[in-house]
Amino acid sequence: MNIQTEHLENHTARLTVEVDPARLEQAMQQAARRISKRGRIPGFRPGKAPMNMVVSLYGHEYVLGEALEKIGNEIYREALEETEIEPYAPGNLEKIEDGGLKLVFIVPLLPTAELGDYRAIRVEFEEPEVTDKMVSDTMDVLRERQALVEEVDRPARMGDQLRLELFEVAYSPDDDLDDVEEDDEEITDTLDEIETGAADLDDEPGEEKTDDDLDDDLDDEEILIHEHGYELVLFDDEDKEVFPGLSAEMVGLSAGDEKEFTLDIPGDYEDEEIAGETLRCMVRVEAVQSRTVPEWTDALVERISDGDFETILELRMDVRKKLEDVAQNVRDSEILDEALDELVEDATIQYPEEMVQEYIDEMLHEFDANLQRQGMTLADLLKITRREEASIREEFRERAVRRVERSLALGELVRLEQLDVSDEDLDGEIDRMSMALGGESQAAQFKQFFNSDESRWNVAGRLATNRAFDRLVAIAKGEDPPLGPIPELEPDEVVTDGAAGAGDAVETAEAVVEDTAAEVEAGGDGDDAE
Amino acid sequence: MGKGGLHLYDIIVRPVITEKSHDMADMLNQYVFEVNMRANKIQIKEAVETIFDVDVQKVNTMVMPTKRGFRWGRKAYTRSSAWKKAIVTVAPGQSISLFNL
Repeated sequence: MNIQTEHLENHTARLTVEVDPARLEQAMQQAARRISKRGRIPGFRPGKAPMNMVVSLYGHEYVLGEALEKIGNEIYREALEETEIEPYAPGNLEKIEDGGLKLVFIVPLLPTAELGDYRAIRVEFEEPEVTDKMVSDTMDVLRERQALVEEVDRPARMGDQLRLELFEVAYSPDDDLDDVEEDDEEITDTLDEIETGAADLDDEPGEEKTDDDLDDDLDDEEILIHEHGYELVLFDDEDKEVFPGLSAEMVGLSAGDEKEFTLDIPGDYEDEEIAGETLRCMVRVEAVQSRTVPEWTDALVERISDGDFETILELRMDVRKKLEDVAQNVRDSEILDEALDELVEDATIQYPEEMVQEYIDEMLHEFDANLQRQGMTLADLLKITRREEASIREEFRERAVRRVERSLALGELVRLEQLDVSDEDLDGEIDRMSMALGGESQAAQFKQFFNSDESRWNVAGRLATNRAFDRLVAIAKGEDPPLGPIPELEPDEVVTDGAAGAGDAVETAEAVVEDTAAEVEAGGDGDDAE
Repeated sequence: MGKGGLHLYDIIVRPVITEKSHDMADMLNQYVFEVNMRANKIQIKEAVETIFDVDVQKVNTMVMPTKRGFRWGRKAYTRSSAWKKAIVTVAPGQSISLFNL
């Protein structure tokens, strides 16, 4: 076989293979026989028509196609072997020349990643500070959760809790300002709208007025909140409120009251999206409840901590530690994000377009799965928004490219830093996950579940990615860690476990950590795909 | 113009292309045609020589009998009428392209 190889720009190779005429002839003969077996040719028993007959009936192209289907793959494999090209994905037969004697394949090549001087990556960071006030606030949240809530028959006062039959907050976004952002968020926005609309359909039919309102709103207003049975605590403190000034408006309302009012959000409000906007609120109060917040006692501490701690001081120390852990995790994930960007920037990464498309496929799949949780499919969404799948793919492209590059860079990092996951590591991790998920009783089942080839693969990929993350953070911090795996990695959930009662601050922070981790991780997952 | 009022292109109705005729053409250089019932061997020879530009060595003819096929409904049978078949032997080295050898 005579093969010519050309390397193309987008990390693909073009192979021009010349096929031995005798081999092609034989393949054609066989193809003709197969064809004549499939379709009856008058005058001949199935499979008995001679090749020329078949060719003149079905056309040369058709028979050639059939023949190549059979030997094309063989030829392709042989060509790859001969040229020692390792493909990333199955190649394509681009064109056929000289009546099948010359085949041109386009082969996507294995991605390559060459890292720059990644050991020199440094990210500036500050030790996170956990102030006494943060601890105290969290402690207060903990305490307030233990509040005794009683329904009362009087107008609402500060500190009361209101159960709202309807709680809707909307505003008209300033189109000029938001245009730029909106392009990116188009899909998400539409989703939100649909979600709100869908939630509305479930409601009792008696609420038609609201439904109509909502429909109108969809056109020009951004709905921030649309909830039924929402429980809202009135606070005097602006920091604790959902929106500043909201509580003050609600004071004095009684069960059954309805109120519509507007709130001017100050221009320096932390959520930039609504800063300086005027919110239109509508509430219908279902019940007013008084809250009796207990004082700090050792008994309360015991109740909050499920008996883990006996004194306020112990609990306070624990809260502080958890807050610190979370703050550190948040900071680490920021460092990681920055370090990853740098890692990718310094690296020479080459990958074929197929890989990006594969990632986009994956993302579309995830997107579809998310939609299905909300009771619709991607196809529905496309119909509603009158868009083509291609335009969504284009929208995902940038993120997909980012994921591809990150995962390739990380894969290379794992290799260079000798972080590969050994079988023992993997077994250990699976044991740990099984225990965490199933507890004593079901650990064995989970273990079995994780031990399938595919999920072992996934777990290993994630483990390697996590190790790479940790290593990269360590490098970025300037710790100059030695090569090879870190002996014993603390499980990721240092915080999650005990944080159940540790208050909003902790949860929000945690959510942030997890989000970031999830995103980066999703990028890393691709490693396994190779 | 052929004899008996038959036009040259009325003599040969169609080539018979079957496994058997294909093999005959392939191995014996004999080509099978369905011909007009009224055509004789000489006319067939002339027609084949003119139309396909080959030398005909021999023509064998036979009349294929009527055949009755399966029954449609109560009375009607499919019926194929009788036809005349001609086996034309062509000089060695020559061939008729119609048969796709």
